[in-house]
Amino acid sequence: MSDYKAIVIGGSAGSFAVVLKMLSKLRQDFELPIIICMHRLKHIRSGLAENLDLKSNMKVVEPYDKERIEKGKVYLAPANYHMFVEFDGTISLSVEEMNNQSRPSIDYTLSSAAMAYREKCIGIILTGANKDGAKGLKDIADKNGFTIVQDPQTAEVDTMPKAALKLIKPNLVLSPDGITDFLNKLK
Amino acid sequence: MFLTINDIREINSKLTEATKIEYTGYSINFFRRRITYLFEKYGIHKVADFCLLFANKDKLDEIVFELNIPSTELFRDPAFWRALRKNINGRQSLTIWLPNLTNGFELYSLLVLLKQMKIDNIRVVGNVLSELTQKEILALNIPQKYDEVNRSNFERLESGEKFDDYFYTNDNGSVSLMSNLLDNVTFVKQWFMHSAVEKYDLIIFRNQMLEYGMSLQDKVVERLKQSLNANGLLAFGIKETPNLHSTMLKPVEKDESIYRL
Repeated sequence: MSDYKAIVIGGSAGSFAVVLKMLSKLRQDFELPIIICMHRLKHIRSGLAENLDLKSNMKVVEPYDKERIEKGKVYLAPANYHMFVEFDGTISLSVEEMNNQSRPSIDYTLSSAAMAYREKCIGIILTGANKDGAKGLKDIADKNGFTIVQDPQTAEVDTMPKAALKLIKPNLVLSPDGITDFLNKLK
Repeated sequence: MFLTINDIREINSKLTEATKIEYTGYSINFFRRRITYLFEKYGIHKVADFCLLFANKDKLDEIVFELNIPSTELFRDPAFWRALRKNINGRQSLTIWLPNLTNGFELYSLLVLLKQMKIDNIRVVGNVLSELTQKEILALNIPQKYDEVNRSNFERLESGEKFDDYFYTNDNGSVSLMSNLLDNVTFVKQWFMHSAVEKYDLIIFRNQMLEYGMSLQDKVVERLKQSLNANGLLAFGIKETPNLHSTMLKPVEKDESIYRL
């Protein structure tokens, strides 16, 4: 049984390729739910989750409001909705104002996961072109969750990982392959 | 500031009493986010101080306004509007209810669509929760920051018409809806759950259920269903999943969350 309840990942420019590769390399029996918030074009509703699903060993979905979070599934924030993790183990969506010029906002997803899972949350910030996600990762660190930042030197755009590194000293700074290896070693 | 569950319960109970809007049925976390935002906005640190504001009519109206999440843009989800157009095509007249207008975007989008379809015999009723919302809608003005997304969504309607046929640009870069489009619209300042039951051909209630807990969702579904004419259409947001099992509502455009009675 893992010490953790979920993995929460945020990324922006360049992160789709990283996530795609990570999901394709996770071991077959990987069970921890993965909750992903990526900045994306608001008018393109389909394609992203489907593409990730094709390459992933886990089922990738864009959740509906109040959908229950289950083991072995990947949840991708839908276009033009904020995505929150709730205390009762469900996902809620919202059309509230943009945060950091973003909807979905990575900060919102990560901060809500920090509240819901506390020390049983793994937060990961990937490549990206703005600072969204840094505060959310700090919230996870503040609750004694485990934090990982993609090594800025391996990031297509290093603004997001650098913003996170400015706010906290994460547990690990890793390349995308290093993050995948770490996740595959989780029980 | 972190508001506890007890803080939230105290606030939403008192706010429900002051407004007669059932905030106690709202999703706790949603309500906590909005109240936290208002505490920061007003520089308030105590629940009691916040609740004192409810005695001031204008402040109460402002709080209700702030708790009502505005629609994000004109023609949000253009595929929804195309699907709606397809499903009301051929109608000579329509009665339409927008049970909770949060700003002008849904109403303006609907009015433009109806004008494009040349359905002139319409009656639109829009409920608002606050004076501020109604004032904002009647101003017909859309700030410049929304211009790019609004025009882009309009293009995706694939109507063959121009955005500027329905909106004019002001000196400051904002745009305004042609005012004659509002001719057949009636506003009701009342929580829709308390409105007298009337029957409509179309009810649009998109992305409002996101804010509600399951119990309030069920009550709202029942109330909206009561207000539909036979063969009437009811639209929710594309990511909402209200419990429709006991309602006789059937999806006509599943991906766009449009249902028919």
